[in-house]
Amino acid sequence: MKIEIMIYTYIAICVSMILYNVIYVFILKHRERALISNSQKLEAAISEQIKILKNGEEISENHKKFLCRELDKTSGITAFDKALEGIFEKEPELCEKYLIDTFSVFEYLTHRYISKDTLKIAYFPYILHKYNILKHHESERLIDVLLELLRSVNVYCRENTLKALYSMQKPDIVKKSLRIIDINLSFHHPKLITDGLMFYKGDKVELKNVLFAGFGEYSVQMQVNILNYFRFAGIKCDDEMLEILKNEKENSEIRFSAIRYFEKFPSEDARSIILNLAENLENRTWEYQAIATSALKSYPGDTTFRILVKNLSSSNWHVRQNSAISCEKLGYNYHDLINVFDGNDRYAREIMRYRLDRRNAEEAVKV
Amino acid sequence: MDMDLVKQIFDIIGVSFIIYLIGYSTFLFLSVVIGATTLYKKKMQDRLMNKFSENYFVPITIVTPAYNEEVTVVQTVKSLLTLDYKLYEIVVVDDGSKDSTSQQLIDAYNMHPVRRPLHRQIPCQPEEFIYESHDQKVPLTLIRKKNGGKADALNMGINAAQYPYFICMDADSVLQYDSLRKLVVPVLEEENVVAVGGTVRPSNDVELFEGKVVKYKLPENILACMQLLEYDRSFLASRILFDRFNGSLIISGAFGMFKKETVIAAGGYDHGTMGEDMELVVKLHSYCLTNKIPYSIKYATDAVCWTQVPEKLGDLKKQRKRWHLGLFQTMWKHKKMMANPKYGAVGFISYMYFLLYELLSPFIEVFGVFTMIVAFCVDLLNLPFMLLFMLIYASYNSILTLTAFFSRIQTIDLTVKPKDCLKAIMLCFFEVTTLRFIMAFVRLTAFKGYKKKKLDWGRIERKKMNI
Repeated sequence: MKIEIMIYTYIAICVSMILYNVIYVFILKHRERALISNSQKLEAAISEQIKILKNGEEISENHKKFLCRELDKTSGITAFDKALEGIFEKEPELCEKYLIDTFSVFEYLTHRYISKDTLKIAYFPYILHKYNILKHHESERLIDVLLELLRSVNVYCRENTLKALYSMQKPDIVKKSLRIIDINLSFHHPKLITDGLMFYKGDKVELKNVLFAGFGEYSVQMQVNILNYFRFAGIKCDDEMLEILKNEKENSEIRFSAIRYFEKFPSEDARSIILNLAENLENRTWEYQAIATSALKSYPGDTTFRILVKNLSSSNWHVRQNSAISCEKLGYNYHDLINVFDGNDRYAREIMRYRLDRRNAEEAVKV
Repeated sequence: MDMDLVKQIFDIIGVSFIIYLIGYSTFLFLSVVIGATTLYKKKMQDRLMNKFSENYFVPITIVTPAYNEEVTVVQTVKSLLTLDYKLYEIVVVDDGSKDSTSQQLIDAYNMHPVRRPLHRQIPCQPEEFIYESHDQKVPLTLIRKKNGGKADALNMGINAAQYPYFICMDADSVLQYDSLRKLVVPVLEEENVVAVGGTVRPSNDVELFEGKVVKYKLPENILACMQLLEYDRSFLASRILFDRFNGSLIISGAFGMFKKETVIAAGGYDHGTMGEDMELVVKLHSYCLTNKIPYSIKYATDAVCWTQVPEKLGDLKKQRKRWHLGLFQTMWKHKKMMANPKYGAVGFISYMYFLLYELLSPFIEVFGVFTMIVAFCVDLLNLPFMLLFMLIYASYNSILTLTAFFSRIQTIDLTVKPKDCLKAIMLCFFEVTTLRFIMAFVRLTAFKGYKKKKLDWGRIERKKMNI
């Protein structure tokens, strides 16, 4: 190939890219205008139906057909979102009633959206979650489709679908959803599960019971995510956690989560185990000692004090640091720790002095 | 010498030079097309709610190494305290400044001295004092240490970091308010992400308030403006393309996030290299590939850091010489990666690109120009063809630069005035034909006084920023 031809071809493509840039500006402007006009059209139509609902009448079938047609396109569903946002703020109750009455539209759309590109699919569960559309209806067909979306390779599609399924407030659905995410090959970050579960607004005790009932079916990582969720959400589950804590054959990560739980929710039943884990390394990894030492801040007492002082001289940095933090949080002062400050262990002295100085500084700021 | 032989030599040089230019053109072409397409796709993704609608906070330590930054350090920390993110801490490491960098911070943020023991996992120069502040939105720590260079200061920051991810950023830069949220997205999207690079944009003449752009315009200074075009081309083009095959070799020292555990395992920043930012990334590739650790290094196109670029040619020359030396040191240190099948695409594509089109480019370009002059003198140059070819080549590069510029502007929701568009159009040709060749000569002389510069911070004149 002649070099000039190659260069000219490149130039032609680049010039067309600049043209694309210019055209894109116009497309964007047009799209914005179209979104505004579409949402105004939809807002007028929805407002009319809301008036009908106010009068105790039912939503017209024509309106449902109109919605099916409009919302089938992504431009339509984005306009619907924009239109509904404004109405929802003004009349949340009537809006909720409107969404309950138009549920069949969303049921229909679920099957339309599942065949679209994954980028476009993600918007649909987002809408379902945002307006709590699934809260008042149970449609097996729709749930099946949503559960299928959890197998998508698109993390945002999975994430929006999970939120939509949580909004149903059904523990069994949550259990099933987590199971699908768990066996799915696509990576779903643990934070998205643990923090995401916080959006579940249903009965949390019931959710806890259901999740514990099938606990063994989940992978270790998912079990840890669930236990962390219980801890963050403040869901009490002392008996189950104690069982995990006692079971020496249980996976370490799961037991770590249980120790952290008992740090947040101290229990006298867990005290002796935590004291033992903090004091004796035995054939366990150092993480057990470090995490248990941190948990000791919730178990004041003479034995705790003795173990913390001992752990201040640990050869492991994390154990030493956690021990100093626990001493600080338990309110020990220079006088209580005189043996540490008079002792020969420079590392123990330094870390403890730093923590106590820090506490004093923080208190001074508060004053 | 036989004239035919001379002609043959010139022919060989000419063909090689043209092949080299065609190779570079093809690379630029692919990278700009892929880069622009990626940005447009990202914009579409956002429109269709393919983004995390809620905030998920991965704990981050921001490490800011500083040396003689008394003019900007307080403002930099102020901007860091306004970031829209919940879980982070700030560690400023004063690398033995000769000015009042530390005192400025202590006074501005009511900091008090502490005797904090540090978990030294990477060797670095000893600390002289540590100050902390507890009445800010997030924990703020100042560590003053013996001078040891930027890499050493960063290693100190890593030792002091309490969170699993750390961000390194320059003390003369400003993070956009949403930059941390955007930077952690790749970590949430993908498994085994060990580093994420952000986008660096020149802040000269840009008005920022609490990390948000209040007024955007192209820099008044022509040199700064040309650098903006160059930054856009480089960030849009090469970084997005390399990101496609996990082959990024550079995460700018001005703004990048790393997994602390992996960086410590790989040995931290190298004290002996001037391009410590690039060296770390190459080292991470090497470490993970050698130890068969699954990993990925990502690029977050919408996480923005604003930084001042030099407005004086002297400062720019100093900066580019430093970069070029850093590039050479890194490439030399990791020469085993060159076209080595063990390192896959990183060894074959990324390393070779940086070797041929970055490290050796000033030599090749200057040699090419020199050859043309000699060929012209001995009447062996088809001058009209050569001029036409160079003109086409320069136009082509200018068009690519403009494509990168406009794609970037549109996809990050910035608006530029027609006057600025015109300025960009006019300057891009000048940047390609003049600045590029000046910089080629500058980089060619980078090795002069090489040993003396080892721990040099590479100062450029700082101005207070509009934040």
